[in-house]
Amino acid sequence: MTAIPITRSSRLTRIANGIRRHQTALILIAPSVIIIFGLLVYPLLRSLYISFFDLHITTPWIKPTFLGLGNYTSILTSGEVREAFGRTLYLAVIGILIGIPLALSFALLLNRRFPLRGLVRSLMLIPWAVPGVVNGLMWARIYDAHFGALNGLLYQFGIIHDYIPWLVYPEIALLLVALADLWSSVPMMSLLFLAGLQSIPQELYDAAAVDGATGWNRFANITLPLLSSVMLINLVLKTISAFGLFDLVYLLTSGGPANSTQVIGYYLYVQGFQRQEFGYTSALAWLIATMILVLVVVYARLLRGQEAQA
Amino acid sequence: MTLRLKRLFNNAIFTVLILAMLTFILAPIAWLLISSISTDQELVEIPPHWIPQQPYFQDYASLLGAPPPKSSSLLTASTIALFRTGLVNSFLVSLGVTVVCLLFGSLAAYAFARLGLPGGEKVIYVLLLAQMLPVVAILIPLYQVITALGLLDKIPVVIVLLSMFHLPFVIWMLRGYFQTIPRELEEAAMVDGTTRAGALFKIIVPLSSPGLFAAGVYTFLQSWNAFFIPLIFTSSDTTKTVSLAIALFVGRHDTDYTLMSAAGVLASLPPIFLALAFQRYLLAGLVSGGIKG
Amino acid sequence: MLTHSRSSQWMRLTVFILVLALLDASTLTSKVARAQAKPLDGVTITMINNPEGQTDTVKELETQFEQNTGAKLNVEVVPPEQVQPKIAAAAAAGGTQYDVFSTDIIFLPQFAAAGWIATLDDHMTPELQNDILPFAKQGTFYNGHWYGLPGVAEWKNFVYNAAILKDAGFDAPPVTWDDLVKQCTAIKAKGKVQYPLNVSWSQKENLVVDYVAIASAYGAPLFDSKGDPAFNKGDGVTALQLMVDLLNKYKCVDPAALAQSGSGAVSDALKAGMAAYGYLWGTPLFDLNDPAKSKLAGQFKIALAPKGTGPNASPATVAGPEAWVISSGSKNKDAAWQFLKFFAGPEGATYSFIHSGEPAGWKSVIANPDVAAKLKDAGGDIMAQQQLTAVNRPSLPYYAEWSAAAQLEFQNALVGKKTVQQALDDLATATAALKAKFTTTS
Repeated sequence: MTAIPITRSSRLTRIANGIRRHQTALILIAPSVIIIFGLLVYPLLRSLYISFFDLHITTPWIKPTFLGLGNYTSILTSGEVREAFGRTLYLAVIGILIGIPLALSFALLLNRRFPLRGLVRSLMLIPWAVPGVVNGLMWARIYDAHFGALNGLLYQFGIIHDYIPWLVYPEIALLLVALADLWSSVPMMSLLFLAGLQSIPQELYDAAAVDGATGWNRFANITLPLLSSVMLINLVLKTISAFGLFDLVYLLTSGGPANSTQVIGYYLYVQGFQRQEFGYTSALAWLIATMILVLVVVYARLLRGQEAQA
Repeated sequence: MTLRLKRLFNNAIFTVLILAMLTFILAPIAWLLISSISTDQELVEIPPHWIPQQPYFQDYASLLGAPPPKSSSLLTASTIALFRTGLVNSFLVSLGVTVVCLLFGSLAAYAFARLGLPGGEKVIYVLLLAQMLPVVAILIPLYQVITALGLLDKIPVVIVLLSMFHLPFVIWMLRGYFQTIPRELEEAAMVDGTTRAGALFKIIVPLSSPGLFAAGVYTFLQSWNAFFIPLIFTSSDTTKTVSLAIALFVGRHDTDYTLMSAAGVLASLPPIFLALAFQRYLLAGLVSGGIKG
Repeated sequence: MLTHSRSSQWMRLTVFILVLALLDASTLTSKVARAQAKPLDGVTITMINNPEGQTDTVKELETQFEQNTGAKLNVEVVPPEQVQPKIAAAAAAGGTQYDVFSTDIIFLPQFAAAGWIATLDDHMTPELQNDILPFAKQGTFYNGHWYGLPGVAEWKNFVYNAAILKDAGFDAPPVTWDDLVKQCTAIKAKGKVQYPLNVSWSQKENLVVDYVAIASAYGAPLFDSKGDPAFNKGDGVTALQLMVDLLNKYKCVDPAALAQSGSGAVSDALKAGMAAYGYLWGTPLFDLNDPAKSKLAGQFKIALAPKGTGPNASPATVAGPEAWVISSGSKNKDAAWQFLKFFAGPEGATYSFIHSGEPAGWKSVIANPDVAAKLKDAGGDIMAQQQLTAVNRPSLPYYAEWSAAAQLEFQNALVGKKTVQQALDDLATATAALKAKFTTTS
């Protein structure tokens, strides 16, 4: 191959390459952008638009009223919304503080070679593969006051003498919902962590071992930093799913008792589909999206520091 | 001697941990399985019969082919037929979404990872907006758009709609995995005469197969479980997915719990089998790649 | 000359006969053509239903209609809880998606007020109007207009386990709520049934349903003549207080009731011998006394609902009539009406009841001898009396919002977060705000 001359033609080549590079990039991105936004642009804009109105869908003799930021202010001042938001944060915190370390531990276990590893990994996916309706009803049955497996187990081991109606206690109900959600989401997070672990070249560990680093050192200084992008993904996923959690609440408690499990996702569903308050729902949805975006940026900033160290 | 003991000890601990993990994951599933072959009477005992004394396989039989019992109002020939076509439809939809997302997603992820776009991070966040906005807000306007275009009740449309919601995440995920692969590998290949496309397929894809696998499983399972989009955008029996078909076993006043469990077990199997099959395929690729330990 | 005239005569006769035959044939073919062309050929009627609604009987009726009229019936089957969202989505997008669907009484005012369903005043003949049962009429008639034909027209029947009562020394079911509490205490003392009255009081519609049932037994009006809240005064308060007492003071009701949903759970508890009393929709004895489905078959009976105390008390219960309606955006309203009349009218409803036990909202169905025979062993005479005092839930265009607020406040009272009076007062405030929001002009 001829040597590339380091003259003005290489500059031209570089510019040409630059354009071509962007061209290629744009071509590569185009199909995705079309799929994502093609059908979504109108709904996104429309939902933003109607968030400024009170639509009166069920009282059509009253024309839609322009409220400006009316919906937004009523949301921000609503005690019910604030409580729902608080419960959602509780869900997210449990998911993050318990779920993520648990998922990481599972991924670490699955990363080692052992017989039937492929089978075990596939079995791990089962909670994720169970259809939402079945998952909700299964947990409803497990927590059931009269026929539940939880009660059955505790009774069998003599821990309780009478079945307990778990879901009737406001404080416990939300915790149980959080635990059921945790169970369903750990497989996905483990899988993502596992893929991340598998991308870390073995040589790094070998080199560190040669340098005398202990297992814990290797974990803290190699594994964790190199997993930071996966960590970010898992944090974001968990946060989004906490804000979207709906079917478990719907099937387990319907938001009760006395609203103690009414999380934002459920509240949104009720407002949107049962009360057809679309203006209000759109405003709340956009607020939620903004909040998630802020959290995502915060997570990203926090973790970028980590990644830089690696 | 001590080394062997130490290794034995390590293995023992490891086994215990693996078993603990499996218990955590599979205990509720075990309960689901038990419920699916029990009769209601055995389940309502206190404590319940953990191992059914009179296993009841009728629900499985009916779902798999035998005629349903006359007495059930929820398990009828039509709901069973819907369950079966639902399995096929879910499979088609999930496969379609996975292919679309992996294909276009990896192209876009590559662009983001290597071909530095102006905006970079921010563009990804805009893409993620589709996923961050609760679907309730856009469902009705989306429904209006689809109805206006006459695209209701078509499986390819459901595939596109679900891809719409999962593609941003896949792009983001894959970008992360692609970024962990050192640039030098591609640049070396390109110096050797490979095109960028070639670099993508011959180097990036094999090396990021764990990430691709993860993204593929994520997309397949999220699509398999999708409920709202298929609910609103399909209407005829021939396009329903299995998540909807199962919801049909929930009655207005009560639920046939054992039937639900059986249907749930059956509906969870296809993705698991797929994962098993592909996992071996990908593991084999990894070992031959020789880069990872 | 003779041959000529005879052959021409024959010829004329032949022509005459031929022409006659031809004329007849053409009328014949047109008659045949008319007989083969069915009135609704080429018309497609789209209906949305839940799977339990699509019983074999219903499907038979649907096929019959298709054969009679040549119309094609397109039935979309959707899980019961998802029917309403789909209807709402379709309505928001123009209402052309479905021609026929069913509403519940709690949605009728909202749908009617929003203009989503077509009025049927022209189609409702005087005989049809007179044939509808009073409580079922409320499910089809709103604000002066007819909107539908009765669908599943049920009320909650009070059932009890006669064996458990006898074991505790009672030969007769309770007549008043005070009786029930006394019986409850005696049954509990026996030790076999811990919580004799089984109810589903989760934070869902079922909680409001039961409140209305009990309030109706006291004769308590929930709204006054001006449409303002009356439930936070007088017996409306007594009714909620009774519910709280049944749970906390008399311990007649299981604490787990607060997490229990649906009448299926009540039925299961009764069948398992874990309860002695329950309120159930439809024709509960068919199921409870069926040996194939129930361990304790034969022990169950229906009684009139227990009365409250006070001058307005009566053995009343709550009703839940549904109606089959036509979407106002439908392109085939006439065809849809024909289908409705066939399927949900008196004849169709009678057929449905006899073959699959679907409760109907027509007087003529209940009066039908075959139906009466079928109901005789299932508490038919009691049911016939009970339906006369079945009370509907409030008819409000903002019912969904009101019910959600009510569910929350009732639960607040039941878990002890608020006193009964406080909870109902708060509900009244919320109701006033809803009323102001919803009734601006018209």
